[in-house]
Amino acid sequence: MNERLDFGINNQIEKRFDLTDEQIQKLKLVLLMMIKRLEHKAKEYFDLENLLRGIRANLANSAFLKNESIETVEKEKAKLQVYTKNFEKLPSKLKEVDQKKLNDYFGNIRNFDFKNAKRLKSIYEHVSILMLDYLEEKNHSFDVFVDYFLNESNFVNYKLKYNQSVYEIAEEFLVNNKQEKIEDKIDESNDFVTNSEAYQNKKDESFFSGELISLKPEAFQIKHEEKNIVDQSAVIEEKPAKVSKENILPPIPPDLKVEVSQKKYQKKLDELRNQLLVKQEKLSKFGALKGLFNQKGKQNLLKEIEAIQVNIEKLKQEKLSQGISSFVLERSAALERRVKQIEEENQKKFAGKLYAFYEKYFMKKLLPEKMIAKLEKQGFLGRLLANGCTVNAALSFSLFGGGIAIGGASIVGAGILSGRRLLSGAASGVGSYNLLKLGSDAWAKSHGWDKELSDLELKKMSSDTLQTYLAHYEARVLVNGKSVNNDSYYKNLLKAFENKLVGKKPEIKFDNRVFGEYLIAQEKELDQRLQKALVEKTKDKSRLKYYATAIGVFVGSGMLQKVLGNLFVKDGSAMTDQPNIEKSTLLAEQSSDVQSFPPLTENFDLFDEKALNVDAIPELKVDASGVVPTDTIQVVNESYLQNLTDFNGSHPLLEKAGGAVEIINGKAQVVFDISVGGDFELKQQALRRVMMDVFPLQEVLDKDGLSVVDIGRIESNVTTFTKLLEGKSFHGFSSDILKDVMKMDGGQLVISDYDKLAKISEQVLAESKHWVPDASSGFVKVGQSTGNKIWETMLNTKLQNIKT
Amino acid sequence: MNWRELISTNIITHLGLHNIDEKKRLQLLAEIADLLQKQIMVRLIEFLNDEEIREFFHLLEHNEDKELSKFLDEKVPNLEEIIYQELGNIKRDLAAVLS
Repeated sequence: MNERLDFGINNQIEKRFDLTDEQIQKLKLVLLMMIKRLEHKAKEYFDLENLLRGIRANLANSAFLKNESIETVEKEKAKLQVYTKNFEKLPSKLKEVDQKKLNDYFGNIRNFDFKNAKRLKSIYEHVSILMLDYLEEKNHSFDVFVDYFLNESNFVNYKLKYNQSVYEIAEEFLVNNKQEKIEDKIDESNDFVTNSEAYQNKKDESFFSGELISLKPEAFQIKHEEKNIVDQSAVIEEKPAKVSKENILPPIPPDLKVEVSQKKYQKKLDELRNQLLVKQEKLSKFGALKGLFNQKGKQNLLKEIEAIQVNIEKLKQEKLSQGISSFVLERSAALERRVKQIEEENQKKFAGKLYAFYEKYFMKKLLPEKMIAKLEKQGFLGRLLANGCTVNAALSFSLFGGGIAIGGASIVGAGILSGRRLLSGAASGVGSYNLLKLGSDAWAKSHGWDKELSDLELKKMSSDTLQTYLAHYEARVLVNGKSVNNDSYYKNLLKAFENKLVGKKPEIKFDNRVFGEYLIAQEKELDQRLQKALVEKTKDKSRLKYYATAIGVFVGSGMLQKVLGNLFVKDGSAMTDQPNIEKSTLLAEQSSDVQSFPPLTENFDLFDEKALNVDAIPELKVDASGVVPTDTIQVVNESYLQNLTDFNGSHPLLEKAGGAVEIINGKAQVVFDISVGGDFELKQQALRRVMMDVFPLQEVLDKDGLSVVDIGRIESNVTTFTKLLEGKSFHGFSSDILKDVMKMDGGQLVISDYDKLAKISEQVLAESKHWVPDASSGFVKVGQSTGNKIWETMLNTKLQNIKT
Repeated sequence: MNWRELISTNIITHLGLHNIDEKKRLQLLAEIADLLQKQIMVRLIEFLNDEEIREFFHLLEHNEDKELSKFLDEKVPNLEEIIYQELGNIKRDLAAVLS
């Protein structure tokens, strides 16, 4: 120990006994900080020493050189060079650092009460000695260093403010501190060439010509601009820092902590690799002859090698996973600090709040138009994501080389070219998709898509489903780090999709003979169905049937087939000049021009009955036995239509819910199809709408509007009627009450007398007050589980025709 | 690897994540995507002035999507560039730490 240091220590110790509480706290932090730094540097020293040993061994090992690629060997050599340089810069005193002692010091300092001067001196002295090489080499005095913290620095406040660790403060201090008093002494204190620094200083000329990306870490670190005593008023009056639009946020340097943990894994990996080399060397010594005598030994060795290889692979994956997670954690913490810094330094008061909203923004906000346009060019996946796309989904896509950051379709490349053409005619999927979920094995399994599908299975798929499947397959390929380019199965899928589109784009095949025949076949079927309907039903039963009759008269005449037959002949030309066609018929005239033949639906405009000259169709008289004379039809239906219109106007919810309304003998009949693909899958769903429809308006318009209790009472009614429909008595009502009013008929809920049902419903609702007295009722909970959105929609529909 | 190549690279191949168990891989990817969002948001905060941040926050809070889209178009015309840069940064930095 030199004289200066000795004096320094004694001097400091003397001072310590008169320390204020604040100074004691500072001293603790200083010592902890120094020890932590020592620990870190010592670790670095030993890690480097081990690494160097490993690299040197590798490079000296012929088996390694033989098995590894030239690139790997070169990498190892480069590492050796950098690590050696770093190692030489580390103070040799670090060899003396005793890890266990340092840990003891931590404990001692934490519980430090400054009464035990001997122990204090011992710790202080030890730390000083260990730091000596390091500090003196830079012309620093440990005492000055400590003194600075005790008397000048405001770093304790810093800690409170930014919640930094002591370690972080130390690093920051050593890197950035330019305080006048010690500037000349410690400004070169951070001259270690750590991996991250070496990386940061590395200039990649391809990075936007080096202009936009700043690689300096300082900008991301909190600077000690504050004075010891902060004049609050001065801070308030200080103008916010001007934000330049050209400012580019510098990237956060890779955190040292991540590197340290990565090194641990690397060390283990190096050990395993060394073991592997030894075993492989042993194996190479098993000559053919020796092998004969010691087959068992060789096999054991092979097993051991295999086990080590498995362990190496496992460890590599662990290293990667741990590295990514740590990196994300460390950087997230740095970003939070950065936001706080922006908030305070630049007086951006809402910065923190806005940052807290990041998830909401990225998860929920839809993409701007121009970004959507980019996505749509990128395969089925891009198109699917674009349809319900959030920024979040697009960003995930970008990680895979596609998405919004890239202009082209780099992920799909040439392989998608035909797909792009297909996309122009493809239906677009709707919904918000999560790319990662879409590409997962779990998602594939849940859809039965975890294996390649056969041509038959693909053929059976609807085009929308196939499109989703294609998007899923693209996502799946991406999350597995592959490309659909040159993927034969993907090409097969595209072909299947193309085939489907042919069927979906009739206009392209309009002149085609096959399509013409197909259309004729379809019309024949329609003809038969309508004819059957005509015979079975009477004309005054429903509005729909009335119109169907009018159409059916024409279709049933067989004239339509003849007309269509004219349109599609074997050579694809129109057959208007064929002798068996009566040119005087309406449609024959309309359709003489094949190219302008209107879509089928337009020919069957249900409201265009006046355009139909029944007298001009001789076949009508042939089938007249089952048909009410046309003059009767007109009279009946004028009255019928009025009633129907009135009813629908008063009950918009029923029509909206898909109920087929008819007026039969003056009574409103409503039918819901209860089946998969029908109006509803469950009768409760239909009943909920009916009960909402008949729910008294005055209850809705009272002061609490449609309250949760009201909804609970509606749910109570739904339950009562469900039970009554099952033939059970419920809530004091017998199922007989529904006779000739409402029943389940096959897959249909048939309400044959809607007005009567409304009256019964009123009675049931009045009784429901017993079961739903307040919001604590179970029915209220059931109502809430239905979802407010549904109730709101129903209510809005119910009220849509109410005049205020 | 130049910057554009870096952006276009699939992160799975870039970081060598092929062999990680799929569940874990997807979890890691979600973490990275989340971090990317945060980085971009910090860039936006850095870029906008206090008044603009306040407006941004207001639009988000009140779900005024159309206005928000208009706001970003006007105030952050280089949003795509920011995304482009941060995407590259995250890929580059992760590769550096994991190498």
